[in-house]
Amino acid sequence: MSPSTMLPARVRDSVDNLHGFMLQTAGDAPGAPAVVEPGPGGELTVVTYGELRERVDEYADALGALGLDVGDRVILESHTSSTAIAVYLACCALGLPFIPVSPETPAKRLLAIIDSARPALYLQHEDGGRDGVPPGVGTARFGPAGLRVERAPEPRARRRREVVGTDPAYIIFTSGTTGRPKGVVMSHRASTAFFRAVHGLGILRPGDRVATASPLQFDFALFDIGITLGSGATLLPIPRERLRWPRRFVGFLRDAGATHVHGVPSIWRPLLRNEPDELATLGLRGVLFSGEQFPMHELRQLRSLAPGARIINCYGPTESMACSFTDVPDPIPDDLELLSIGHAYPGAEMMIADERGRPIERPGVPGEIYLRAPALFSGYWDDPETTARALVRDPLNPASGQIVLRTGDLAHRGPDGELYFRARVDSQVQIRGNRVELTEVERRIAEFPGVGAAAVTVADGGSADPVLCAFVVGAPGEGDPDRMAVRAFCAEALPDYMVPSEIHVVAELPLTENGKVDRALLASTR
Amino acid sequence: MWDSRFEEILRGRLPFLEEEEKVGEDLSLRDFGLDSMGAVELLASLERAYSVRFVDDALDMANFATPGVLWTTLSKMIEKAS
Repeated sequence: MSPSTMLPARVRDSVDNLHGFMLQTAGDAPGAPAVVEPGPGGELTVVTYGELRERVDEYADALGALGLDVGDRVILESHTSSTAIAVYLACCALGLPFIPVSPETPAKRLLAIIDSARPALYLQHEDGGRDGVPPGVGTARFGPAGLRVERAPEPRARRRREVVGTDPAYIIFTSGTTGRPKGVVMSHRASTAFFRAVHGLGILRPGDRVATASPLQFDFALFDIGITLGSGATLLPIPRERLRWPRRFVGFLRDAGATHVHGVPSIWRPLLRNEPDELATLGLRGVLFSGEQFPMHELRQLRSLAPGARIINCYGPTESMACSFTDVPDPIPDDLELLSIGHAYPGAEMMIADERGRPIERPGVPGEIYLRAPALFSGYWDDPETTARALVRDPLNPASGQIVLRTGDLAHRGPDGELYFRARVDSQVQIRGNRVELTEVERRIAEFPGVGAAAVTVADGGSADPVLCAFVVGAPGEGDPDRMAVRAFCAEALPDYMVPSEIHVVAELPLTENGKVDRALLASTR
Repeated sequence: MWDSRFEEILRGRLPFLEEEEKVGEDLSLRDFGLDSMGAVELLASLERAYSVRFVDDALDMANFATPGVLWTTLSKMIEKAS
């Protein structure tokens, strides 16, 4: 039998894999609701765990028939839905690393991801409008009728026979400093270890109904899917067009019977401002946020509108899915100015250390957070140098060979050893919970014809979210760059949250004493 | 054609529109800096100023594409309210 006609490998039940982890309830309680989402006519419909498992099996059969080998990447362009989850879990069962992207991802950025990840297959919904997927990548569509192959993946030899726990489960592409997206590779063993540990915190139970706000291409969405299904609870993907409008957003939460809402802090501001009364009538039991700091006055308002709800501050980078889950105090003390990111989840440990890796114990002294956990990422896709800077030998015991994560986040300890996030060691920022490398935006602007130099900074958005501000200098001998054209140029290649909201044309970029662009000074001159 | 109040509110949400530039009926609001967050704020300002409430079906980014389309939608809501 030649390798390509061999049956595709399927994960064994005993092996750490997200497929088995998330479908446990399908065996115990197949009639329990797994996902509630708008059906074909727009009305909310229930997909049970049993139905979800059937769909996963159908997709696994269809994908398995395409001749892919364990390790071949599959890109899925989709919003969160039961179908997207079924495709995800089918990929898991076959050992095909899953790469979620958004229908809104600009074409140029998508091509950069494809160029880097070299996927075997590109999947989109029957109604999807994506074209221009390069030849050499198979394409298929998914829908109610299952999988419809448009262009079969190129024939390949199957060399793998077992799906193992260390195989990649997914790759999340995020902003990168070199001007191309950076792929964070996470294994099944790491993800399942993470979810099992976090499950012990009792964040969700069967019967809970969890509205998830994060787009599928961020690991926050994969966290929501994993923690919800792994707990036997029900996932309520918030339709994008309803999330955008506070009134429709709160209407969805009510119609779908949400008990919990997970999302970045910036989803709350429009609700708090425009629909506080409606919000108060929902009787939410749980709120989990991550990705950025929650402005304290808004958090206080949310606390008062959701009395008794457990509000959890989740901290941590994509490279470890998360590090800590800290309950926001109830009530919030009047003098509390900075929320704690607490301690690592059970079975993991955070420490802070100085630049030479020496641990810092004294309260108030800042240092970089190192995470020791069974759930660290495997590496950055095709980038061993950057990986080596993040996955380092344990500074406390370098001889052991144990690898820990250097997060790039600065924090200090409080009186009880709890941690408080302060800043990044580099120029990474968060815009509406999305991670953005300022240098990636600067590189893009500098490619615009007629631009001599550019600096990007984050500025206070007044009562709104912090905004990206670009400062642009025209090339010598050219006129001032056209601000709108520069912005459109950014939008061609960068996701919307990376497109500067403000563009200022300046004569020159001020430098600090040591010759770096003085971003702080620029921000103060806008 | 719209009134001056409408144009004033609109201008406040278009960071890329220069002061001397005219607000044309077919101006692309998105190109001039109206993002989805801005649209929510714009909606709230319009609802307050005209004492109306946009129905759910009207809450669609397509209705916030150009000043012309937005004014037509707003006018319908005003008609409904009266």
